Amino acid sequence: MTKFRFIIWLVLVAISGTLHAEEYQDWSIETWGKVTFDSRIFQHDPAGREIDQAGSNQFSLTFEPTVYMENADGNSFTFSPYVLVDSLDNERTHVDVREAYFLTYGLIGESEWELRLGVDQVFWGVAESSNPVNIVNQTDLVVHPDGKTKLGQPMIQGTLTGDWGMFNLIVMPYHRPRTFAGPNGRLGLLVPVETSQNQIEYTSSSGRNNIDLAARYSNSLGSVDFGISLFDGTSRDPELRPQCKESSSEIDCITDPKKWTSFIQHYHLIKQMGLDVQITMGPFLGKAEWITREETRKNNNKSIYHASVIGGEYAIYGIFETDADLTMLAEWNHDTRGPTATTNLQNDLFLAGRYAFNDIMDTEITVAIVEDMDYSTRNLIVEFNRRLSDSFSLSAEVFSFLQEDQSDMQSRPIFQDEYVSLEISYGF
Amino acid sequence: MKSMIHKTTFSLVQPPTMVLRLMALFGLLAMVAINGVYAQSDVEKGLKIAQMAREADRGFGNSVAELSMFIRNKQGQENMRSLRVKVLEVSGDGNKSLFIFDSPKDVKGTALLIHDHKEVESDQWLYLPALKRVKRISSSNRTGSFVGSEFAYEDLGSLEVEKYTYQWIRDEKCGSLDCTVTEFRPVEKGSGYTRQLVWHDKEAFRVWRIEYYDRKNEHLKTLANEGFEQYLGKYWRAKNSNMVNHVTGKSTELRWGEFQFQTNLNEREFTQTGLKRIR
Repeated sequence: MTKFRFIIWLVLVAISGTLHAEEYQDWSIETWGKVTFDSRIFQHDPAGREIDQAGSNQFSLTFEPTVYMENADGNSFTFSPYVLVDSLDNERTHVDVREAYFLTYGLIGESEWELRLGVDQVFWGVAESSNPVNIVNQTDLVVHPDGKTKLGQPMIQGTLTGDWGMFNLIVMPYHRPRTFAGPNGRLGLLVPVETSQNQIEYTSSSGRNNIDLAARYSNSLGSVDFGISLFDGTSRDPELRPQCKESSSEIDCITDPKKWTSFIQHYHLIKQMGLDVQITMGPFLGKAEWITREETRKNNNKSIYHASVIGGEYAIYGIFETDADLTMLAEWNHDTRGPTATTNLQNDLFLAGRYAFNDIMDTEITVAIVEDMDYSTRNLIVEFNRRLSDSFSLSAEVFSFLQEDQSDMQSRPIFQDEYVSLEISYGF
Repeated sequence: MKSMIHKTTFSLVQPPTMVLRLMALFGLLAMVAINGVYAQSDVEKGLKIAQMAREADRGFGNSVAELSMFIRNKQGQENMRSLRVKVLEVSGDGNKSLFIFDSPKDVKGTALLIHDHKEVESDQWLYLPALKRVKRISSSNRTGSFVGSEFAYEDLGSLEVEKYTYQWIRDEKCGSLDCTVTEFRPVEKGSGYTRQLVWHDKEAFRVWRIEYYDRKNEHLKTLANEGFEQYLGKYWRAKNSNMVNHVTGKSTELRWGEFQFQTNLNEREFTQTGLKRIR
């Protein structure tokens, strides 16, 4: 369990720092959290994998508690572990430390400084369908195919906030590799991805201990919110290289997916500049994110590419003379790497409608279509959310392909993974 | 996403009050009497009442209070929300406010930051703890229901004098107090009301009752405030506010905890950085 050694060390440092700094009695402790039961029913057997019919039902139980300690000066310590137990997939069954950080802040002249030390989560971006600028935390892909769930990232984070805006500097001494579904799991790739730490390759000579740096300046000027960000370090997006049966030649292996046995994750060094902007004008929100990234591979080969998302949303409040709101969203995702991009949103239009009933149970339905502009693949996602009581809530989802383009290698591995899911959460 | 608190325009700053400035009012009335223009006098009198009410609340600095919200339907079924409300007074502009949800559990830690403005629409940001994400949201939904309650966002907006035109209607008793009834008409388009009738007492300009008339000028809702308590010898806050919708039969009651004024809260808590610290 070496991958947790650093995190545990940071947690211990933070805890001891916390306890030494102040009298223990001055700290108030609060705990809360969530337990979620999720069941996914898959329509088809997985592509090219030998799993019996039982493999079409996937159940999971997730436990996400938070312990929060705070003293009168506003210094705090937050600890949020995460445990997911899955019925099918050993890779999806996992433990993570989402947060374990010490936070302190104060004034420096007219501005405010804030320091966070430990494992934390940082979100950058404005868009709904994807967030190219959001680079600090690694994606915990096994949780949900939307990739919005993130792993905890060990870091030292400083923030200065003043009338002039907000400046954020982050030093990250440890890389977290992405999670991928295992051989018995669903929503994986054509062949499984090797996830053991010694099978993961890094361009940096320091491997996973490369020191990554990230910085962002952001401000709100009237109706415009914007951020400019920089990142220098190991990428969060792995290049996946196929491994083949020993008998096949190297050329055969790269070109013939039938010979593949697994993927190896390669994490390259990157330099990235990002820009995110939102304009808020009445019921209309205009949103854009753009990155340019220079990737350096092991042989010192460099390549540059850009990725962007641009779009907006428009809300009709009190539609049909009811309390309900209808929000329409449209976003275009683009990645200049095209078919070799590490995302399946390389040239995709995201169109969605969200109907919020604004009732006491917060009932909400979202229907989204992701239309691939390079291939004829069309993905449909329907989400339904409703609170059942003060502590229980329900959410249901349909993940389906309306059209499947077999030449779309980015989406093809999950064509067989259409599902309907039902999730019940208990908050405490 | 939690639509529950998606949009708002609020600063549950309640209708203000203060030591009566009768001298000013008498002065105005005297002037009016000399002019002898009655319609004009009613407009000026209405404006004066609104100004006095606003003036009475100036200087509170900041306040922190816990709020329980009971949402009841026609059949009497009840739903409760609990939140913490922090307000910072900003000189020369609208207030800044923070609403932090503690229950229901699925929105625990969700927080709404509002920078109110006198003339333009407010700026609003929502913090979603599950994603660690701060979202700038639209503030156009003034007529919409706040978290499924009978309060619309515009009912909760801070009482900036510039937002309405006024007309004094009559004086009458409200309980043991002498009250004035003033008609408020919204200046901006997009309000859900043609007018509101507001009952202020003449002693401290506390708001005891508001009747809301919808776009068809039909009596839609009534708000009743009670249990006023005075803080720092100056600022009055109602313990209970009950909003009844006469069309649907639904109602929402606000029960406030103890208010704390002039705490060590500062402007830095009301930024996006401050928003991300909220637990």
